[in-house]
This record gives sequence, structure tokens and C-alpha cells, in this order.
Amino acid sequence: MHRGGPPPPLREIEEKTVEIIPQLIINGCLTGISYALMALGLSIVFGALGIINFAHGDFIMLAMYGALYVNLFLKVDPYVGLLILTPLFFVLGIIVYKGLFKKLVDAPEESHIIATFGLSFVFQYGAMLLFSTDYKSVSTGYSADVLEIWGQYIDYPHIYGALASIALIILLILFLQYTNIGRAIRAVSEQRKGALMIGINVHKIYAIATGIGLSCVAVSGITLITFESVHPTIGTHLNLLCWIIVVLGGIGSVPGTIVGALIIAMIEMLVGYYFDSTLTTFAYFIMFLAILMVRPSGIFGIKERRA
Amino acid sequence: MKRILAGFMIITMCGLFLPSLGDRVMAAPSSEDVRIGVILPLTGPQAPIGREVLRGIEIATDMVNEKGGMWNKKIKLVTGDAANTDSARTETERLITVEKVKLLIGVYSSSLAFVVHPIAHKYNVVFWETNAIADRLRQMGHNNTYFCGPMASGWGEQAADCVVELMAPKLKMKPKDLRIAVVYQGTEWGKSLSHDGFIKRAKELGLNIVIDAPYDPNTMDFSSLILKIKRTNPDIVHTQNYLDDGYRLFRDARKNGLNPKIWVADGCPWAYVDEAFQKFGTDMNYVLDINQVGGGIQGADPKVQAQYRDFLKRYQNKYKQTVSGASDVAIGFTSAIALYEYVLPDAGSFDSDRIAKVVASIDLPSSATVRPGGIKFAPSTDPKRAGQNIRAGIVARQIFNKQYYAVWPKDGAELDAVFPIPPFGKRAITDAEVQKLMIKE
Repeated sequence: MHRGGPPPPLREIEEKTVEIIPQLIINGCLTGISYALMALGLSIVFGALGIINFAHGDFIMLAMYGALYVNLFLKVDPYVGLLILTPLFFVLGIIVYKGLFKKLVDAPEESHIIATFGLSFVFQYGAMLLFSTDYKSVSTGYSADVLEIWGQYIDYPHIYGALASIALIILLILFLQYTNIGRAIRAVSEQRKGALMIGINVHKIYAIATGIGLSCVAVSGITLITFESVHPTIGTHLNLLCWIIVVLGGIGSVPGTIVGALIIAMIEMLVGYYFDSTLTTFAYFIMFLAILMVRPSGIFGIKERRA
Repeated sequence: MKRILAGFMIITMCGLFLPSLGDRVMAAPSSEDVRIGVILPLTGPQAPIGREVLRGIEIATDMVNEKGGMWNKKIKLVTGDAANTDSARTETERLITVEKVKLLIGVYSSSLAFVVHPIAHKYNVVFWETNAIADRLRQMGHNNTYFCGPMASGWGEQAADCVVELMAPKLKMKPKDLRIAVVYQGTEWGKSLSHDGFIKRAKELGLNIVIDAPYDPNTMDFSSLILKIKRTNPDIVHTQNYLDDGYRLFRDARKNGLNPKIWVADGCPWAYVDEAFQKFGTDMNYVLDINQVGGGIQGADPKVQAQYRDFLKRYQNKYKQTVSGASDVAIGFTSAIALYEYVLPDAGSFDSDRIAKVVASIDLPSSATVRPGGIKFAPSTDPKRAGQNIRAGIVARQIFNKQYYAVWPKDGAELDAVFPIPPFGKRAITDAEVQKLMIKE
């Protein structure tokens, strides 16, 4: 898009437009991986329990505040918070499951929406009371550092965020594939009655799945705080984004979540660059609807799930 | 199960209405008080701004109350939370129909004003608007709505004049040779200031706009937009944004190595300068902020200067932080003071006709206020700017080490602006070096 004033020579623009493609792909991948990490916890909880959790973005907000205060009080890098927040959010997940989700598992979906919306408001207003409505962020030694490789710029907060995300995704895939609890989570996700019949303690597995989902949220909050400001209502927008990614990729599918996140991020980059920056959200909603028309259960979704 | 759901419904309702509950209890009607409704975003994404505007209004109210109040009664503020358009609608209705206020002050955001102003108009309640600048708000036939700050297109036009009068000479370039990128929220606020104001005026002045780039404020990563801007090799990047999008845009400019000769932040994000420095460190130095308050106060009447200094002191004592040059708290304060000093005493009541007569008679020079320009309102019959303070101006301020220094217009300038700005990573400057840039009186 070029309006007003004499445009630069056409050839120069065309060359730069082609040259820019690697940078757009790098930015899209890094943003996509951070989106995937945000959505992973939602995918696990929704996939395993079938609970429509509209407070997911607010859990990320709480994790961001957690990482912020780890940085402020302990004077350490937010990533040190992994040691504290990951187990803490696992326990929080168990508590949330036992206190709320357990009662919702067999309830109609409308109840999920009402209850988790309520939870979302409680978290948001609680955060306003505890942390005020101010925007808060952390500054690390690498906040402003940028790596330049062959003319492409990559900032360190996103590099570290991507590394943390990739490590977590690999661990999660290995856990779900090769451990008994992982297999049990997949079993209850796909066939709850069948899992019950072979003696799996479904509620215990649900509680663990919720714990793992919120541990992923903790990692996501820690990476986000290195390049985003936190405020009590940031979760509202994150929630919508996470839901689109999870449904697009296929509910409960880790690879689907990653692919969905990368698609959304790439659309944002390409539409923002080649078309109009006001159309990015519109464009990924169109893509979202188009894919769901062809594959209603999402890219990696399974048509028939729980019994 | 039903009990759980009922419990959560209650929690949800509490969450929705708790913020206003306190006010309802505290604001029991009393014939001893002059009750004024304040409608602002006190929760939600715009809450940091709404809270500051409220603090400014509260300090102005305290100062007036300490001197005897209004019409020999104390002024009592009754607040409503406009967290979003839905709550803005219900809270405004509540303030007018339940709390029975006859005058409202607020609402800061143009998008909220489009909801709130018609309700005040419906009940014939006077609305004293502190901020909302979108042009169309002045063209809706709301006779009893008055706008203290500049309107968006006028703001944008003055910002374009700033390019010619300040930036081009500092860069030692002819204005028409400057390559200017204009980047703004694709909202009514953004379009009316940047597109209908800045770009329109820039074209009249023969300036070269190399990219006109509105964007979706919900975007999480602006890299693609920044790369598109970078491709145009701009001398000046003129941005207009709120908090979240402003931070992300600046972050992604740094990330992608966009280093224009001047970065203009037109709007509000850098009003929260402590947070901006926490996030970006010394890379925040040299940024040019354009706002509706915060110029040098030396041109104001000594009494007005003393009053403003008192306000700054009270703010510092109460909130343990400085106003940092100026911010939304100063907008709240100056708007409320104008109402308390120039309108209500002569009106003698909240009767909208009497207030309209007083407002029409106000004709004050720039010395009457610490804000740029003076105070004179366009008549309600003006089809394009009804109720607008036509003298409201803007001020350009350069940021150094968490402080703002007015650099334009020339008659209110405190500091000799420094352009071109150093690239990211090389913007550290000592306070002593900044002091050397100060203009000697």
C-alpha cells in the first residue's frame, strides 16, 4: 500500500518486497510458537475434560503477574520463575479441577460457559484489587538485544520464548506418548467410558490433565512477560486468540495447536505486510471459518470423540 | 449442580457491579451537597487513564471545597465505571436516573463518548467532556455537551504544522523533502486525528506522506507493519496509539531496526512514562510526545500558575509520584477547574439553559489556563464543532530520562529539541546534558 507523495522506484520496492519474505517467515514462526504455547494449556484441558474454559486467558494473566513478581522480589530473570510457577500452577490446576471443573465435567456446555466466565471476572477484578489497573512489565538484560543474521533481525526475548516453547512441546509430546499417565490422558480424551471400563481413575486423570494444562499456562505467562506488558484485562483478548487456535488446529491435538498457531501468526504477518494492517483479525477469522467449513473438527481433529 | 451455578451467577454479577456498589452506598442523596457525576473507565483496559483523569478531577474538587465549595455547598463526586460501552451505557443511566445528577464530567474515550453523550442529551443533562476528541461527536446535535480539549482533526492539523515549524528546521531539510510515515489505530479516533487531520493538512502544506497505515489495535505483533514502514525509508514516523498497541509498535520497531530521524507519539501511551522506561529503558529518550497539556506554564497568569503548582504538589503528596510533566491527571484537573471557576459560579445551578448562556459568554486568553490556547466555545448552532473549545491547542514535548520538556509551540518551549534522534541502543543521555538543552528565560 502506498498513498500520498511520490512513490519510491518500482523496481526497488519489488526487490525489497521479495527480500522481506524471510524476515516475515521468521517473525511469523516466532509469534506462532508463542501463540502455540499460550493455547496449549487450553487444548489439553478442553481435549481431556471437554470443558469450555473461558477463563484460560485470565490464568495466563495470573502467570504473567507471577513471573513479574518473581522478577521484582527475587531480582532474578523471569525464567527462574519456571522453578516456582510451574509446580505452583500444577497444584492450582488440581485445586481448580476439584473445586470447579469436577462438577462441570458432566454438566451441559452452557454451564461451562457461565461458570468459567464467572471465574474470569473473579480473576480480573481480583487482579485489579491486588495489582491495580496499571500496565506492568519486566526489563531483563536481553530485553533490547537483537540478533542480526544475514540481514534478518530476531530479538532475544522471542528467541528464548521460542526455545522454551519448543522444549515444552517436545516434553509434552513425549509425556503423552510414552508415559502411562500420558496414555491415560489420551484414553479418557478419546473414550471416557472405555477408559472407565479398563479401570482408569478418570477423575484422577482429569485432575492431572488440568494441572498439566495450567503448568503450560505458567510457562506461557513467563515467556510472555519478557516481551509484553501485563494488566488485569489482558486475558480477554488472549482468550479469544487461544480459542481460535485450538478449534482451528483440532481440539485436544498438540500438533494441531502448533499448526493452528502458526497459521494464525503467518496470516497476521502476510496480511499486515502485503494488504492492510486493519484486516489481520478479519483475515484469520475468514481463514478460520473456511477451514471449519471443510473440516468442522479442525485440521487435526477427530470426528467422533468421547462416548 | 444448580447451587454451584447459582453461586457463580452471583459471583459474576458481583464482578460486574461491585465497582459501582461502593459509590451507591457512599453517595446517598443529601441536600447539603452539590452532586456531580463522573463517568470514566475505572476498570478494563483503559482504566489506568480513567483513574488518572478521576484523580485530577478529585484534586480540583478538593481545592474548591476547601475554599467553601460551590454555591455554599460542598461538591460531591458520584462515580460511574465505563469499563466498556455496555457498562458505560448502564452506568450513565444509573447516574442520571438513580443518583439524580444533573451534570456529568468524563468520559475520556471517543468510543465511550458515542454511547454516553446521547444518554446525557436524552435527559437534558449537561456533559462536560474532558478528552474525547473524535470530530463526529461535535456534529451529533447534543446541545448541552461541551468539549474542553481539542477536536481530533484540529489536533492533527496542528501536529502537521509542528512538522513544518519544528521538525524540518531541526533536520535542516525542506518540509516537502521529508518522508513521513503516518501510523495510527484504525478507529474513529485514529482516522479523525491522523487521516482527516494530520494527513489532510500535510497535503495542504505540500508534505510527502510515504505511507498511510491504519492498523488493528488488537494486533499482538506489529512486525509486518513495521517492515512495511521500514521499506518506505521514512524520516519521520508519526504514530497515534493507546497503551498496549503503542508499546507493541515501539517494541517491534526496535526489534526490526526501524530508526527514523524522529519518532512522534501522538496521543497517550507515553503519558505513563515510568512504565515506558521500565519497558524500553533509555531507548525512550528523544521520543517526541504530542499531547493537549504539559507545555511550559510561564505564560499563564501568576494565580493560575500558583494553582497548578498546588495541584502538582497535592498529587505528589497523595499518590507519592510526580505528574511527570503532564498526563491525563492534568487533563482531568484543568477540565474540572474550568468548570468550577468559569461556568458553575455564574450559572448558579445545573439548569442547562443557564449553563449554555454562561458557556457562550466565556472568552478567555491563553493566560487563563495552563493548557495551550485559551477558552472559547463554539455555539451549539455550529454544524461541525458545536460545544467545542475552539482555542484548545496541543503541545509537543521531548522525553528525556522520564521527564517531559515542552519544545513546541515556540512561545511555551522549555528545551531546544534534539533531532535527528540517535538509533535504538544509543539513546542514553545524562541529566546534565539535558540541562544544557534547556532554553534560558
